[in-house]
Amino acid sequence: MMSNDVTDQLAVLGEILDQLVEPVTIGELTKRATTSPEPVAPSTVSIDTAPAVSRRPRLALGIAASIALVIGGAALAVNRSSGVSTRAPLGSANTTLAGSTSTSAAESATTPQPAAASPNITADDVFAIVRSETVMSAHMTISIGTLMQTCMAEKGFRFTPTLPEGDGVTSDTVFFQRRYTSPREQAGRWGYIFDSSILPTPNEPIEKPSPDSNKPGFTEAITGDVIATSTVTDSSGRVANKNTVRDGCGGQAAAAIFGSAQNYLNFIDRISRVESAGGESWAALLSTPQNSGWVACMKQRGFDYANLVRPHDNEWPAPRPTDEESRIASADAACRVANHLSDNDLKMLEHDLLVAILERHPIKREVELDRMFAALVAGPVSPADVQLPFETAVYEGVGYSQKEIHDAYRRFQVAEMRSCLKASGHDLSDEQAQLFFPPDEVSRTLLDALIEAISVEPGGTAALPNIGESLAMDCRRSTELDVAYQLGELFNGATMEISNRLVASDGYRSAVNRQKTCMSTLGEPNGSGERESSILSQASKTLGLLQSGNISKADAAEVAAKLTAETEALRPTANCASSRLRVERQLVAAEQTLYLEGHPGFIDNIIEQYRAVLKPLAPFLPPK
Amino acid sequence: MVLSSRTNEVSSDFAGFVRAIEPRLRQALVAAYGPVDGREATVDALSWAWEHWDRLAEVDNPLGYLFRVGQSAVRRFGPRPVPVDLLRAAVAHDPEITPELLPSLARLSPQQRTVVVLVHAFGWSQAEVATVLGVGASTVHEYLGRALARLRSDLEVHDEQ
Repeated sequence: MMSNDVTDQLAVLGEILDQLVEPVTIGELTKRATTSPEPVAPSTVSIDTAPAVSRRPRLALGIAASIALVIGGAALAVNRSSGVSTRAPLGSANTTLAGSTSTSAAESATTPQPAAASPNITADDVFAIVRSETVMSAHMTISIGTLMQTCMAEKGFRFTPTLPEGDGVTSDTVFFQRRYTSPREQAGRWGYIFDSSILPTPNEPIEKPSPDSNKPGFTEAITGDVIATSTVTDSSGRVANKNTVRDGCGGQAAAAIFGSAQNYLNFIDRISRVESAGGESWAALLSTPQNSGWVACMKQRGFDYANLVRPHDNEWPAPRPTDEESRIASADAACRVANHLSDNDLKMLEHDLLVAILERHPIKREVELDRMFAALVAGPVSPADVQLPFETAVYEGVGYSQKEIHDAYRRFQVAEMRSCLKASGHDLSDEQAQLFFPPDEVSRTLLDALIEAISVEPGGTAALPNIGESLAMDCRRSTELDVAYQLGELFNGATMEISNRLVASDGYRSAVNRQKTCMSTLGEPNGSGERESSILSQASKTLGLLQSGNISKADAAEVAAKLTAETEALRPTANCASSRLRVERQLVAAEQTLYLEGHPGFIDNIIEQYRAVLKPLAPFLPPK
Repeated sequence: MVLSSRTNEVSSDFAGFVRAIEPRLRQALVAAYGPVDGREATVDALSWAWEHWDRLAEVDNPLGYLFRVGQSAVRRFGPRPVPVDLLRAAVAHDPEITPELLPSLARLSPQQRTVVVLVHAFGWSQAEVATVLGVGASTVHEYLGRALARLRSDLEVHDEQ
């Protein structure tokens, strides 16, 4: 008797599976462990188990084009014969970005990494590189752009780099997730609305022209003469790309990031070849019987397309999706399913084709290039690297750097803490008193502070004093001058005004939407903020208990381990937020510049007030 | 460190651990990767557990951890379609299962398939599934709802959840 109930059928299936799949015995483990390589243990908690996604050629503009974009146009540093026409205006973006440099890929690449097993790049490697290259590209855009800014300034030009708006992850991931995961559920409703033409492109620049871009010699200063070239061929021996490095500010910046111009060229060549293989596999996919079946299926439904990419190239009329678009998308989805071209089938097919291409035309694995790629994906730039004009002007005005003021405040706190505790009969050393404050010179979070406090050896000079929690808290409170907070208070009116403008701006809304979309790919975006707050709260509480001697180190270590695991689980969410914060900070910086220009005397007034705030720190500030 | 360099004696602790955890781990990996790769992944994950028994003792959620070790092992196999042939043969003559069920399951996303099989084939609670997959209960609920909707759509049946 056939059951119509899906859940009943699944229950029967479960019984069959239980009978079909024999239990694993201890004996098998012995055999396996002596004959098999060790499986890869997860280094992070991740729910993203999907294999790397396949790509359409139009999405595969890729890193070389992006780098060209960074350096001011395809003709400037990287020439591609593939005809990619993505070209950004010369020197676009933000007038306030500091020319701070970041850890170079070459520098980061010195970190020891496990050697790769295979001498050649595998299909999975290609997918992994393709999947990560927009992130890497975004980070490299910033690194190279900031270096170029300094170089151009030395040549007398005001240059503002083209900055990526996001981390580049979202559009690609979401596109494939929504396009291929549930076509029947979504195609009719959304049509092709999740096409990359609707989503922001991965490295969509914040376009503001460089102030000096029309001056004679500006372009030449960026480009310079050709100093190295290379040619990349595809698996048929045809020229896929020609890459060029020049000695202008663009090439110099790239050489600085990669250690040398040749390293940079090697890196670009590698990426070009990976891209070429990825493009070939997709092209091959469009010549498969599956694609022919899809074409026939669409024709039966009244739609004539040469291959499954074509509908994506349509210029869809607004408001989207129209009924026509929905009908085509629904037919597309059904034909993909019927021809095993949806979701994993498509990925598997492209994977097999890619394997064949790489067998014909292997790409040699080079550990050093792998390291550079990993270093760049990891992201050399944090939101904090974007300097804010308000702060910069104030620190210049009072004559001390942010770090000098911060260090002076720490010394002030330690002195106050010792004084307060001494009044209650506890004579602490400076080293001991410092333990009451997060060691933020080396720690980034309260959790780091907790872990560091746990690592202090008992009985050493910095052993934690055994004083009551209440007294510790009272004395800690007496040290709270919080100069950074007070500076924020002084700026409050202006920052509120700027905030109100920002939240209504397209750039900010776009950044927030990107963060949301990025988080929507993580499976469980809701509640991550609460979990983060909870982690910080527990770390803070445990640190307090440890510092006041009300919890053992072993117990604190247990808490820290638990919180570390929870923090690790939140890392993907934090990465989404970091991207948004960086964009937000850039926008704030631009707004602050405008504000300063429109309010003469504003910053002088703030500087005067801040000098008064800093008075208690005078004995601890360096002499000027 | 490989197992061959260790004693061949299996500690009673580890044997007990395997007895306790193997059925659930196997079900979870079979749900995710099918009967062949799922079982292979279970063997690999438990082999890893033996070799890293000390480390595993410190893990709060060993089932969830080993599930992810199994996932890593499957990735090493390389991506390939969920092998339904073995299953297809087993269910071919079962009068209670429509022939479209297995292809429909194969068309689900890995997460959806894992969740729906664990809950409705193996009878796990949504909370248990959430723990193993390392996601929230709400996420599991969402995957489950979508998976059932797609299966029903594919099979053109409309039963009550």
